[in-house]
Amino acid sequence: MIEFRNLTKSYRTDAGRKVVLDNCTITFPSGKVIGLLGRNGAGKSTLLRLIAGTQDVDSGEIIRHGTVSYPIGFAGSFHPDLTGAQNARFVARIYGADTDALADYVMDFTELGEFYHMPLRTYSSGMRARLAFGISMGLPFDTYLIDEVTSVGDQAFRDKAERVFKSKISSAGAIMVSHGMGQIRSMCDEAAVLDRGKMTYFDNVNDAIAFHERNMREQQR
Amino acid sequence: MMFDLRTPRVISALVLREMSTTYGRSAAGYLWAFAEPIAGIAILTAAFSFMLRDPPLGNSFALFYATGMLPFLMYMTVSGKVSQAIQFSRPLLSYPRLTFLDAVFARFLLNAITQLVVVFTVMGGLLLMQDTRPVIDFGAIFLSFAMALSFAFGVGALNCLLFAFLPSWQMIWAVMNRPAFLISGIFFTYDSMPALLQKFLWFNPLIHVIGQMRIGVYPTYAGAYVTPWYVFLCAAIPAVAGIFFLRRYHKKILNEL
Repeated sequence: MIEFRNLTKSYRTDAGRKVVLDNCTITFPSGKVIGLLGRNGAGKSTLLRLIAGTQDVDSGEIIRHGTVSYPIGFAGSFHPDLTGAQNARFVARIYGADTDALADYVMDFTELGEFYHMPLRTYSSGMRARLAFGISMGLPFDTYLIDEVTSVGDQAFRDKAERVFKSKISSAGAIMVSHGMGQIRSMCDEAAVLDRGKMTYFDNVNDAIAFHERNMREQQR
Repeated sequence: MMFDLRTPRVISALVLREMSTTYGRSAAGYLWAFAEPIAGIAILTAAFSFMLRDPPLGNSFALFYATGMLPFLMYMTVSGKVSQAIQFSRPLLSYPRLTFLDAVFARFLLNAITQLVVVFTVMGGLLLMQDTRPVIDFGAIFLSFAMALSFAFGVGALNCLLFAFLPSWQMIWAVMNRPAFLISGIFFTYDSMPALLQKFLWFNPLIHVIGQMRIGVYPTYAGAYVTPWYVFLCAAIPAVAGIFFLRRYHKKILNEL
């Protein structure tokens, strides 16, 4: 469970102050997959970093019950000269997981074959994404923060990823950013829409999508 | 929150990672750490042994310049590496489990250890080549290393902050540091300088570091001017300021600069 209390966050851009959230109080329930919708630049990724704790809030507070993951889906932390296995071991070390167990799990999950023991600079972007996703699935969290996990390999792999993900979050929760409405519909139980500093929460994903699409149309006009 | 049981594990993970990425791809990276001081000592030895009949202390030119070059490069290398710590670990700091302090300490630890290995290897080699049996005061030498490394940490921590907020400071700092080689007593002793010059040189912490090193290597050298607490003060002030403001602003540096 993640609670926002009177949370305000804005940052400076060349075009003036950009408000991500203005005095927002909201509770993300545990044990559910919550979709996070919003236009490009609405601040969805910033919001995930706030929840993860790698970015500071302006005022208000975030209360985290249980362990929260890092924003999953970014492969930027991987070192190009290290192999997939070495990168997995590094993450295991900082999260206090069993390094060998995680390395084996990731090898199994990602199906990278011999690439798993080759430097990351030889990987395609799909392979990197698979590695990033595999590592995060091998670590136990109470809330997973997921930023745009799309096109992770072929259909068979995507099915497997979705199956593993669903079994993971049966005992945990997740907050998920995606631009694919199909993915939001199939994965999420509830959804929140972030628009111009306001967050609106919906118990029903379809209502959230309808609201989000109305926002998008308004903006186009 | 900052110092808990996870911290040593996280720091060792960062050290292992930096070791295998900096030195892993080729041995050349590690050799460079030895090549730089050896080349510096060799050049100074070659140049000055033509000009002088005897080195300012002892009878080995190489040993005299080593006692200057090695602590000097130890400070220069470690402070430079620490000042890049946040930049270096930037992608990793998106793991909330890692803090900027872990990044700074890991960088300091690995590079301090590397420098100590370099210094002991080079010094050991030079001392073996001496005709006379050297009398080394290890306590004094370790005090010199402690002075060099703590000053390097302080300067590095403060620059870590300043380089992020004032990118032009990096250039200014580099220019300001250029004369450091000339005024730190690498190829002369403080005691041999005119009194007027001594008044100014005294305020350079590195001249104390190098003097302390020579106290340890030359039993007859008194180095009465050496004031360790002055160096530790010069280390503590920027270290405290750097860590204090980094603690407050590191997330801004990472996400919003």
